[in-house]
Amino acid sequence: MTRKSLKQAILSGRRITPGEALSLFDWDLPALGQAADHRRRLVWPDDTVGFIVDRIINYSNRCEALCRFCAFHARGGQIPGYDMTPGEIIAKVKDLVAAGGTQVMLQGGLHPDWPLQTHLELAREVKRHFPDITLHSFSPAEIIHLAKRESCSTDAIVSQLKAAGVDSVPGASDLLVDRIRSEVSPKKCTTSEWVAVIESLHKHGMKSSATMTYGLGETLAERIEHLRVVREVQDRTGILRAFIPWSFSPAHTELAALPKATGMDYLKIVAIGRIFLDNVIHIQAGWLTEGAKLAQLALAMGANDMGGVLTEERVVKATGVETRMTRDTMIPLIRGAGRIPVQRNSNYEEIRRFA
Amino acid sequence: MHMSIENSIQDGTLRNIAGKVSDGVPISGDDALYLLKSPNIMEIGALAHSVRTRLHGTQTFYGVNLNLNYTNICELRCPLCAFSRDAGTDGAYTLSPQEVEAKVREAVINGIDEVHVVGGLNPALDLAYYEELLRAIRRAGPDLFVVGFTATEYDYVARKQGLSVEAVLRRFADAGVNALPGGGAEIFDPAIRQVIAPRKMPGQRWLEVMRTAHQVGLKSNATLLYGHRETPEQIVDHLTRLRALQEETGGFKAFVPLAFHPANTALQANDRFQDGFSDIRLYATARLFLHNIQHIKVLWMYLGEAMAQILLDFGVDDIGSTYDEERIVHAAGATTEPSGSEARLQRLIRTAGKTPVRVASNYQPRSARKAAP
Repeated sequence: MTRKSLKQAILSGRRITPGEALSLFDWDLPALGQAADHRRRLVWPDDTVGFIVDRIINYSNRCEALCRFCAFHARGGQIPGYDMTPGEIIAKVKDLVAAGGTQVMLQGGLHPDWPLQTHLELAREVKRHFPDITLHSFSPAEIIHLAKRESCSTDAIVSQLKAAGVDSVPGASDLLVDRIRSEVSPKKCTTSEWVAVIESLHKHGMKSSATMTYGLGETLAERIEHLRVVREVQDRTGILRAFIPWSFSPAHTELAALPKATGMDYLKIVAIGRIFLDNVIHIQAGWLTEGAKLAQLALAMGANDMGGVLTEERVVKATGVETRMTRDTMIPLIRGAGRIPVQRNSNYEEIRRFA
Repeated sequence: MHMSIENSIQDGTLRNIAGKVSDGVPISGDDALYLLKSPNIMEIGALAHSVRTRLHGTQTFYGVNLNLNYTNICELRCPLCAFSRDAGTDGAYTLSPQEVEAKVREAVINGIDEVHVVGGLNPALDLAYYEELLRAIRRAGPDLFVVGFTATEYDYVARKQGLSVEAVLRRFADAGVNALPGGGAEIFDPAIRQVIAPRKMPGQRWLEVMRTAHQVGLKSNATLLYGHRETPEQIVDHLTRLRALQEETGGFKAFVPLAFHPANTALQANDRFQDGFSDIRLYATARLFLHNIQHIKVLWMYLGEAMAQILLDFGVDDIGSTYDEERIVHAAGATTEPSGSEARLQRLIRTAGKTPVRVASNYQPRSARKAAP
């Protein structure tokens, strides 16, 4: 297929194949951006760009997975081990609510000592104090870990988390390519286990998302393979509310020798993600890892959401990447892209428009 | 990729501009103003990329150089600057010709092709100092390409020595200067210049010095400082004056926009400091408007490697140099590395699907020289 006919196919809205997606890496950014922006308009004709006021609470850094790409875990040597108390966590949620926030992301690791019960109590405690807050928390890897630890099914874990107050689970997908997973995160869930968790969440009426961490030594074809896994599970479940790619930040990790992914790599994966994932409505720009300027450019290349603003993220920060973002810096950034900033809830519904 | 760019553009004005670009007709100031205000950065980028590709293909230029900021003592103390000091204060310095020679010798061993020498307006320095400085550089590296002194410095030395600018240019060229950098242009509009650099010579004077330099056979670059408080109209005014002088002399090799870094300066930046759309619009518009200037250069040191690489698809064909020892932009809070290895610049260019070409500022190819034993 020539570039011209592929461009026609993209403009027509037709689903593209993994092979076609792979060839898009050779396109220059303006051509790719025009095509991706066209596809964005097909699923999101609005000129609005959403963001959510949320808080990530990294409640513990004790983790059995010991992934080579991580600088956050207690045995990585960067940050001493810690567990937050329920009191500390509640105080943080209280701050968030006072600032008009609506969503809490409880994110820890594969905790070596905590049983399922501790996780359930954490969720219940937050919901007891703040019944209106949305708990978008834990991750497929934690669910698989808990199922093994408790010797029960994935479904059993999911239904108990749901009963305890968890509303949705972030996709925390890393890269869904087992060749890479077995090298960089051998103790985390496999691709098929990740898929099984998404299907279980679907069965329980819960939503999720798909993320993508690239720059882990994978080939371009493996980047597309990740997108293929996401598109197929989305065809079956439809519960992935957003796709959120970000580059791996190698500093302070065991993989520090890997060359850092470039700015072009980022914008291309946003655009190709938008074109390939015709069944995902929201593509989030990753200001946390890519910085404000690149996140803004992503809005011209297929993205229609900026993620959360009021975070207290610690995992990326442990790699030395520090980007600050508040509502006051987010709004001019979105306006600078010629779009309308909209504060949204976890379900991507408009709360307030900054026209 | 040239797939009927004009036909795929929705916006009528932009389609009209695209028509001029593909016919090789210079776009107007109003066209440039429209581009600088448009949110359609991908359409604008596609146009700029087509021009870049027509001129240079995938070639992307870079240099291996030493940045020599010979003094930070400066009479002007511009609000936009975090580098300058008053004489006798903490951190004020002037390099002696001997120190310069030693630095250049070391850099030559490390394989540089070029020295970029700029500094403050230091009243303690006379003509003999500058000539000795240049001869010291020549002694250390006889075949180095020497890019020396901003228009502001030539004007200052000429006034202090009671010579014409032309005389100073000729003497410095004899002592070793091969070309002029583009610094000191800032932004020509008098109202905004009064705010950011009130004591610096007027924009008109900068243009006169450049005209004289071009007439005596010295080529130069041209800069624009943006991202402070300028309006799109003031940017178009700046580009218009550069384009007019270029029609006359043909002496500008590259246009080099400089993103303002506000830290440690007396100016607060406006919102556009974090506005990637403004960066794209500016570089792409410059590529489209400055049809008579061959190269558009981004300094990765100012914008960061990610943004610099991205701009290679939006009209830029030169990613700048290694800049060993750069101090001015770092004094203003630039968070990039103080110098970039050649391998890193090559990787940035290659991973953008482009072909790295190592050049001096005259764009003559240079090949990596073996380090001296």
